[in-house]
Amino acid sequence: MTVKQFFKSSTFKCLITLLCVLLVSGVFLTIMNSLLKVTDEERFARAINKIYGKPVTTEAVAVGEQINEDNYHIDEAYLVKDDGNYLVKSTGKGGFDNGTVTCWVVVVVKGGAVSGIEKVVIDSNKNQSYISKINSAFLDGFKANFTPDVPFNANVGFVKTGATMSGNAICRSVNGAVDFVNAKFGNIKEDIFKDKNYTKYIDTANTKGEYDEATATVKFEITTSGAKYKGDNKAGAFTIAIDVDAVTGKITNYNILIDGSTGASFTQKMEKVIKPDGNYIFVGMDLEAVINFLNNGIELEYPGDNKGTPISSGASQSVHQCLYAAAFATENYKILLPAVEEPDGDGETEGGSENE
Amino acid sequence: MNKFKKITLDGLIYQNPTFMLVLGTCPTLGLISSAFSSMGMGLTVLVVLTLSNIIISALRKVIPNEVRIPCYIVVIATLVTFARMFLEKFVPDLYESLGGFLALIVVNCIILGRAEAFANKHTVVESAVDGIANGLGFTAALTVMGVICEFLGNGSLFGYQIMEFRISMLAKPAGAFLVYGICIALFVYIVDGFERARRVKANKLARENLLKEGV
Repeated sequence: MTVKQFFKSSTFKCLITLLCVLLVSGVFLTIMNSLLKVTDEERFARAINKIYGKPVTTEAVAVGEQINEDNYHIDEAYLVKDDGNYLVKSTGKGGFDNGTVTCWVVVVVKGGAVSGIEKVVIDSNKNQSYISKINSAFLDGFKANFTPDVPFNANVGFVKTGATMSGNAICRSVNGAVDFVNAKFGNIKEDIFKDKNYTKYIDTANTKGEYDEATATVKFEITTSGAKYKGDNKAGAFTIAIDVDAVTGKITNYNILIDGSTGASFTQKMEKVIKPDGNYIFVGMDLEAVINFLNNGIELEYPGDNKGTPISSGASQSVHQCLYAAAFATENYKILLPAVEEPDGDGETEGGSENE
Repeated sequence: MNKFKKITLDGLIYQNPTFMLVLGTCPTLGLISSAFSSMGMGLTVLVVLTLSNIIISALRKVIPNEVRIPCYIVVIATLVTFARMFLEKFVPDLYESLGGFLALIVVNCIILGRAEAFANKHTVVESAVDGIANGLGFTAALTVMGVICEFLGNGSLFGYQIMEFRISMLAKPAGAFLVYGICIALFVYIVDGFERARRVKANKLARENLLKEGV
């Protein structure tokens, strides 16, 4: 085929027609995109209207350093001048298919601390195919279930929606907003466990612990971070009460307060490993015993769902979180022990005078 | 004029895309749990269908036969993208409620079907009428089923709570499937009844004429 023949052929005509249609479509869409683009200001005005039902005066607040990047991300924050509340746009991680849910959260601050949640509105999401199942009853649960210093958990006090993973991501988003406002404008609570050993799967900002002098134990209320695992069916966060003997470093009490398993069947599978005879296997263990339980030589890193590891159960993520919480407690209980007074130079040490 | 009446009646009733041709089933089953969403989807399809019919009919003599389907798809995709931009800008509530189904209009069989079966063989005006008629037929069908499913499934109508009684299953895709089937059966039964009555009447008239001629 000569060049002349090609230009006269139907192939050339088809090519040119197709290119023309594409070009015209492209130009049309480019013009329309510039004309119909929704600006950030418009989006914000819509969000305000959705939350308050009327325009309100706001003042932007610098977001600054992110506190707990593993569980959430603070996108924007505003002080609502009309009512003195804080409006925080926060993205909760660990939703279905490793997706996220972004929410607008109205946080009420009184007396230098967060005193409640006024409203939660979903702004957008990534990969959350069941997000439409999250109804207003679930979102209203944040106002009803707020307790200071207790993070929200989708398994406690909320209506069942059928979108567990999305619900977990929303809870993380709201917890993030609360943490952000508390850290920024409330009484700043120091995260004493941050960057300590065995904290990778622990939500240190929401973990509490104190030394009980009467029993000489360190009592923990540990919140794990369920969002770290990869895959679709990620276990949610657990809250576990663990008592550690201050002298021996062994666990004396272990109790799961909030079960982060995504279903009852996972709870049963988990309990077959950690509670085979009705008692938690962690009671009586010290750090060495906890590490030896998994004994994978990689600092209790999650080994995956592979069969053959001691946590293989069909609920390995739940078991791993329970194990990790035990490791965290037995490693970090010393931080909470009362400081031993250093003897001054002139004083006698115990038994010292006898030797003289 | 008779031609336009036929095109209109075909689109609305005799070849209703939802009840008679069972086209566009994906958005139908996905959205009829809410009357607002179904009506919004119907109206969006109406606009896209009418515009695509007009454009494709206008270009029918320019577009070579070999590349007609890719060209139709580009035209439809452009219109759907425009519809998305328009809804996001001016009707954000509807944009959110339609979600992923809005983008899926590109592959809606009704639009490509009308482009291939009608618009590329008829004039611009006829194609526009066909688009409007089919779009209205689709909108009416979706809205009727949306009203039924929302009323019985949620006890509400267009978002306004009317009663506490509800059959939750009807607000889900499985219930939508059931309602869809029942609506198809009823629609076909009614149209068939009218057709039968019309035929009986025509036969009676013909017989009377024959008898008159015989006399």
